[in-house]
Amino acid sequence: MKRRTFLYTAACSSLAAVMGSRITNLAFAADSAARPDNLLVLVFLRGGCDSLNLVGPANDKDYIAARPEYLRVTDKGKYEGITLKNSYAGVDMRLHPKAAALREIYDSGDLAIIHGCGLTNGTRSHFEAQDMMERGVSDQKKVGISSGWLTRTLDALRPGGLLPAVAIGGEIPDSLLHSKIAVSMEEARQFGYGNKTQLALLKRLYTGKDSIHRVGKLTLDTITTLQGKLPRNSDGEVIDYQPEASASFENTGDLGDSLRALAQLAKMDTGLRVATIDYDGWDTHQYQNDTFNNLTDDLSRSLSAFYNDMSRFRQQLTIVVHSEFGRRLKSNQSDGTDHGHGGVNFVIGGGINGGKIYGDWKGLANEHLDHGADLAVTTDYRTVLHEVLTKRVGLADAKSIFPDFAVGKALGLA
Amino acid sequence: MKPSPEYVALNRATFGATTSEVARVRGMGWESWVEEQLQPEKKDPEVDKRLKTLRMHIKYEHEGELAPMMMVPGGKMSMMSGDKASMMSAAPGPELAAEAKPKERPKKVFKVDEKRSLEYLDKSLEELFVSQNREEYPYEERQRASDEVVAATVIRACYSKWQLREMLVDFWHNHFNIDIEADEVIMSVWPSFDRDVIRKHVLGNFREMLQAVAQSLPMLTYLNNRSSKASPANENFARELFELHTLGSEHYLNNIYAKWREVPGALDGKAEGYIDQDVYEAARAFTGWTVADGEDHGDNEKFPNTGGFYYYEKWHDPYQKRILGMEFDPNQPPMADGLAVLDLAAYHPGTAIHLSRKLCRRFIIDEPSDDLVKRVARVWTEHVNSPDQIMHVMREILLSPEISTGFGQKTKRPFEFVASFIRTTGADLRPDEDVLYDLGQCGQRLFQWAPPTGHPDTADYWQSPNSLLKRWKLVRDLATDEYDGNIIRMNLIRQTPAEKRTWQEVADYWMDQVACGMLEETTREELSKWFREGEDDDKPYWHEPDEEIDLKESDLAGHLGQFVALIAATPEFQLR
Repeated sequence: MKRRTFLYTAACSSLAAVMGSRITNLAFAADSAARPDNLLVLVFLRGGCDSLNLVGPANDKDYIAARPEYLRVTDKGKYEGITLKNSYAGVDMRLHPKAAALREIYDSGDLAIIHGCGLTNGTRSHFEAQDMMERGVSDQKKVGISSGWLTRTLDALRPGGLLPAVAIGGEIPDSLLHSKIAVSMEEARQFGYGNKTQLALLKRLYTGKDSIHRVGKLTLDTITTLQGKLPRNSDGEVIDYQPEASASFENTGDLGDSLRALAQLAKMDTGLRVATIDYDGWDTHQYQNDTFNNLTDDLSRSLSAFYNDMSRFRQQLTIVVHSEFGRRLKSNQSDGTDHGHGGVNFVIGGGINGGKIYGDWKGLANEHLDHGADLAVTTDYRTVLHEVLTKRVGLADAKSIFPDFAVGKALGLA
Repeated sequence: MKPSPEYVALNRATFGATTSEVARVRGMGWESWVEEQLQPEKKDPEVDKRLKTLRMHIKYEHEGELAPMMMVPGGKMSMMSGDKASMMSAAPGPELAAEAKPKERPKKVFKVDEKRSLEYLDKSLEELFVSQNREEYPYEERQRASDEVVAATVIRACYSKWQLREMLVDFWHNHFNIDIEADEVIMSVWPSFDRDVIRKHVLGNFREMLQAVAQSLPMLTYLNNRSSKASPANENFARELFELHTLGSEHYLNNIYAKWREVPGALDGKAEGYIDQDVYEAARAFTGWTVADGEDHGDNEKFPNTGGFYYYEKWHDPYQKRILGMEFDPNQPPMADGLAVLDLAAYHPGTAIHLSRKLCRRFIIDEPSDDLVKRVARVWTEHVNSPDQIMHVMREILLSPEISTGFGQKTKRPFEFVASFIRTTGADLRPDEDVLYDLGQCGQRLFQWAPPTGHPDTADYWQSPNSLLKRWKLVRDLATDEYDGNIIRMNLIRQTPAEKRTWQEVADYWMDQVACGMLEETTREELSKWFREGEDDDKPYWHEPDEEIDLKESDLAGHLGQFVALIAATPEFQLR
């Protein structure tokens, strides 16, 4: 019979208690053959993440003047941020205190921060900005004619695996628009349907050329792939996924659930190369403090759990975190911030030249701001993506991925 | 086989064409059907009956002085006379004497676990707001208010005679998208928003509707204008007003123009599009537009406690503004700045185009032709001051030649998909939390779409593996009674006419009922073959097409259920 919510952790622990440690061994045995090829994970912070609240110049007088303490990262007191080594000269850049879980990754040198990074186009519309970014362009006129930038990446990679691209947790984002191989799902074990005769029937029905047929066929093939690969016990029941390296996804929210599902999938030897996850809720026009704290807490603990769980594969793993834009330097009267411009990007992975803040930081004085109001974009978001694609994902040439972008000097992220 | 024009048109104007409705249209003619639907009556017997008899489960524990439902005017703990469902409501638990403060009524633990009728649906805004805005009011009861609207929305989509109205209700809810989860208070007053703001204006005048939305508690809360004051103002509502509610992002010119004088038409006070400066200024115009929430916001005066719109002069930015090339003088009368912005936006020619395109996209095709959009926009503009403007616009769309051509140009959204399955199988659905949750799992979360865009409306989005798989599963679960609590009764055997005597005749009958002639010949053959030959691996069927079928056989109901679920899982059934 139906149950509205399936309590993941409860089910895991009870089963583990009954079955003892055999489960872990079994799961591990199934995993050990898996050698994921290099995997790119894109986490999109939807709504316009306030880059100046996530990583802020604690001692900057313009910063201090523009916002109340609770919308800033400070160098002492209740909102004291985490000191970041290798910051811009003379600038005390600090990470939001709720992002403490990322400190270890930064200090170990696997997390690079790029500030003042974003879309050079001046739009302050979420949906235009996302449309452009997800298509890898900076001109609204190019939106209509472009596929997603990850779609073009996959076209160039020609991956041969069973499941090269997934969108975890929801439907397909526009960065994978028009992809013929990207699959959306919540988690592998839920990706099953019916009995053999029903599956066989649907396979015979979804054979046409129209897009609905293509998507149906992809869905049915993926069911076969995943149901065949999920580790099972001797009774043929799917074994619950056990994260490695004592990584805990407990209380990490939807993002944690998605990253947990992704970790499992990445270890199933399906040839996964690209994964996307949306993390919504960053449009903090009012009462930003609480919302931002919670979002940042979940973001950092989820990423940290995922990075630990994937510790065997860190050299092949690259995580990019970005958002459509940053927010206004000066806060509004609702204790929030309105749409701004320059954002902050994270790039995480084994072998990333991290533990360092990249970008051309000019400060927050009026003459350095975009339109006198917002953090300027000093690094095109595609500078980061281009470097990741060529140095980490294995594309020899990524020029065609970003049609209206002139590739300049690389940042040296990898 | 090509679906008939009546079928194509009905599948666009309703939540799913049925054979009986196709026959009705053939009898009365499409024009008469459209005229009937454009003038919906209040009476809707099938829906009224279902709303009156629906019982939905609610369960929680609450510690307080009063039983939660006693806080609602006219609220009753239970309406279950004659209903055998389990009831433990209002059973006071042990008193927590130690925690009870002097002169206060002692706190009790109230255990609510009951099947309850729809108690909130017909309550007024003030009744909902005043009772539910109490701090001690349980979350589950606030959520219940919006759950009742979700259930009623599903019932109306499946069973209402006034299908066009229901499609439009869905359209406007998405156009003025609000995520009820953004704030509990939105959930608690949702019955009023659905009824007094959306349904009231669904075929009415856009300008009036726009103002009703802009001044509603849910929109003021969701897009934050409620807390906007000078200065800096909160820009959230002003931006989405232009970008989503009226002119549309196609008229956002900021990527080309940074200076207002360069916007075409601006120097004549008729800017063709808007830029960020218009957003800033419009946000200033709406400062002070807030909610009568009964609170003291720091000025030693309490706002009225009604949940209605409230204009608070102290928060307003009174000085001169320039919006879309129009000069606004300083120190206007109360609300005049904001109302003038609504006029500018609602009557802008860009709005006529944006809304016409969006309606054509909803009712006809993902990318409507410019010619079609212009024809509709002309009617929009012609009736811009009519009280029934939207009705005239819908007539133009529904009577356009495009309405009945090109089957499959639209992909059903999950809500249309489920409703069309219920409608075509004649199932008796009494929605409860489980089935509403599963509908959300398909990707369409009624009133819970977080960004202000509303659910996407193109095939690019809905043709995805996750959504498709969840749809296949949902109809299978519905058709094979996987839900507890009598949520659904399929009655497939009883509906099968007695003269259908062979396996093939029964297969044909249900393929015609569910898919009304849109299935490809090969699809029909495969489905029939499955119906005659296969259920599960252990017990293969094998029946010749002309073999007599025994409708009384005990396993047949379940088999027929699987069969209609598979008809709904075909590529054809995903399309409109």
